[in-house]
Amino acid sequence: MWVDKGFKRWARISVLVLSMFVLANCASAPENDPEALAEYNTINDPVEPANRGIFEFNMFLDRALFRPVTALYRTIAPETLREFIHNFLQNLRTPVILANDLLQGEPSRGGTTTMRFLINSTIGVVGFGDPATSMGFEQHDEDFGQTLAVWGAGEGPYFMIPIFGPSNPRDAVGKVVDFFLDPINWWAGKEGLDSVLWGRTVMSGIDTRDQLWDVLDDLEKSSIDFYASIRSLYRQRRNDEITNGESLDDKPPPGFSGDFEIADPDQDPDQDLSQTKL
Amino acid sequence: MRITRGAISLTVFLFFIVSTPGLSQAAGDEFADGAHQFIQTLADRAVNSLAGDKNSSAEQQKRFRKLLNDNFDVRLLGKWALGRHWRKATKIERAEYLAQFEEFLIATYSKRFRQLTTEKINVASATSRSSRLAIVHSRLIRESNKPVRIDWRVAYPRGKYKIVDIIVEGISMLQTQRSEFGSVIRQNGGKVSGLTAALHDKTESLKKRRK
Repeated sequence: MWVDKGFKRWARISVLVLSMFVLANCASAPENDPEALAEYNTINDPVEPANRGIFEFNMFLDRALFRPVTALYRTIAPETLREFIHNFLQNLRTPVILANDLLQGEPSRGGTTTMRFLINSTIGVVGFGDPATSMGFEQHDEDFGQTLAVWGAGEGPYFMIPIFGPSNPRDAVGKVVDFFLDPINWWAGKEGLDSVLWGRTVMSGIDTRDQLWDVLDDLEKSSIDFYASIRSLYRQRRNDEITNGESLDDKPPPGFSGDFEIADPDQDPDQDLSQTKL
Repeated sequence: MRITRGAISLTVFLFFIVSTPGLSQAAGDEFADGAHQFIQTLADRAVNSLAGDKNSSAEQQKRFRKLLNDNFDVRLLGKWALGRHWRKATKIERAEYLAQFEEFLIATYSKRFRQLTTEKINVASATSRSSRLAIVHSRLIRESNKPVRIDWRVAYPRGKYKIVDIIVEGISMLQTQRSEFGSVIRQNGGKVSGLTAALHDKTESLKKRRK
């Protein structure tokens, strides 16, 4: 394994401390109210108190480090340059996206991914430009978490990972697999180029924070429970990514079940509100 | 005579058999087309009615309140956002919550709708599987940015098209609100009044920030 020893020890200790913290902060399921229990099960966040703690920690880290660094990046680099960098990093992800396209049995999307790589690496000057999009090859993302979902794996309980944010067992496993799927990581590992691994990780982190700049600002301002909003958004976003944006027509919104006389608000048929899923 | 009557009833019978699915299909399409038109008009009108920041903040709020009530079923949105807690709430709690919910929507979304004046909504298509609910697919075109996928759920309560949900890149406003509101109610010992208070505080802080 190419990950160095110091890192391994650090990782082991932090996993130990973290699991103690999580186990000490489990939420208890509501026992008396069947509706509340159903809700508890759909939210599927059994260690919510611990997750909220980790979320607070992440928010602190964001305010103290990630946000200021990204703000600096936004000041130094004009929007066009930031877009170039984003394109470049995205182009580097091609092997992982392609592998997952194929693992999901989507050869035509794999074709798009390949064409994008060929066009953007050449005409797009090693990936800094994105002429492929205007040529009809639109960008899409795939990862192994999505592949697992396509293969039928459930998401499992929601949890918050320190530094990285919202996740679940399926997506966390996906992240690890994606790391090992990536030829750049093989190459950098073999050559002992830790700086390449770290450099890319840090740059991707800053780029992601930059991409989310307005969204997170907006959301935090308008949320009455930021943690719960993020949890809901993460789930919905992942479901949308898994179905490649095509889940919509088959799923009625919450509260729409069967024939909805509810369209008349002066009557009060709320029975259908009780059985709906989040 | 007999034959004719038999022929007529057979024709009528056949007519119903053959045409009923076709009719309801057509009705569904017509409904979807209407919903499509409704969103297109709204997008065009929003640009005009909210254009120009010359208006005072109070005037903008007033315009947005009208836009909101004309085009959204606010009561329905509020009810769905509350989910199962709606039934347990008392009449007074419901009324207080709904009033506060509207203020919250205005404080949160008036700015976002005003941004439409510099952006453009392209309505692509509309689908409906019933004659009561349609989904209108559109894209928000922004200058120098990737287009954003926005889908509108449109219902037809009391003979008028009304928006009942906005879905941005697969994220439903309604679902997010319901999840968030539920969490706030739980933290307030299951009381809707706790949510109403939180909405009130948030609305006030959003208003202050704008000034």
